Amino acid sequence: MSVPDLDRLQYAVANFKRLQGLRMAAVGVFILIVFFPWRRPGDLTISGILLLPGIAGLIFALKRIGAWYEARFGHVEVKSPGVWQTVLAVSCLGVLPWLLHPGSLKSVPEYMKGFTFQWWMGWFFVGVAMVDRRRWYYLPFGLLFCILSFLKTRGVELEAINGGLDGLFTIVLGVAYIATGLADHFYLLHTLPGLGDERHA
Amino acid sequence: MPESNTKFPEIDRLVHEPARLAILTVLASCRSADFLFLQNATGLSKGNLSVQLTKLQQAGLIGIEKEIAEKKTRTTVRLLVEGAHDLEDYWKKMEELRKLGSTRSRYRARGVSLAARPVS
Repeated sequence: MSVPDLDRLQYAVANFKRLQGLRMAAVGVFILIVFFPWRRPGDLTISGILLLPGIAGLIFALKRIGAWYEARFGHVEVKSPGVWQTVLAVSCLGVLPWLLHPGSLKSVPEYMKGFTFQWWMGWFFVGVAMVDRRRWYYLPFGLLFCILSFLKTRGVELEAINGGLDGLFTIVLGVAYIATGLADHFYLLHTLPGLGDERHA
Repeated sequence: MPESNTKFPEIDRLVHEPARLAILTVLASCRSADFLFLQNATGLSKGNLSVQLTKLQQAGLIGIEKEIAEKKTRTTVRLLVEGAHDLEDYWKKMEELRKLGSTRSRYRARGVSLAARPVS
């Protein structure tokens, strides 16, 4: 037997649940189908109709995906993160983006208004890429979200797309979830060599 | 062997074997894993994995539990404290070896006889 890349193997095992990217891809598909800016800005009729079946479909898909991963790779009980790691993650995802938002530089009331979901998502994607260097593919999407957030706080309007900047954000969010989810999934497939022909023997 | 009186650290052969090293590495990265997961992670055949697990269990490095779930036997494997210690010790010795190797390369590049070098 040749020696496998033990660092990579160690990483894939320790982050086995996080690298199950098909779940994330399913969420991306859900976002695109339900929240796609089909019509005029503010018209949420189609989204309203699709929401309940969409949620039901998503729950079903997530269960099936979980079962598929277990059948394909087997069962592993991963180590839970430590208290400090959790505190750090919550701080990074919740508090810091708020404080570092461009709108927060003006005044306190502006800072309260200026926090946008785009900025938080940008921080989340950049954070994943910075903490897990191997998941660098989160970075471009994170930067894109930060740019969208910045444009929003500057009051930039986008006429070309239904829903303007928010519509564009919805599309990018769905695509980002699908793309990064698939990248995580293929990373896992590539790292764990699998059973080869023995599965069919 | 070259004319050297340098003492090399003794490597644990049980851990050093690539298949067993891969198994121990996987187990060190999680709390426990089942047989199928270990097979997927290491790419070993059922027979080979079984043999390696038995060797590691006999050496007291891993613990194996068998339980019946949904009419199937599930084999769960976890790393014991002894195993974690041996794996850590192995990597320390490998690091020592690496350092020794780079020191030897430096001396060789300068044309210094290794035998003439005092033992550290």
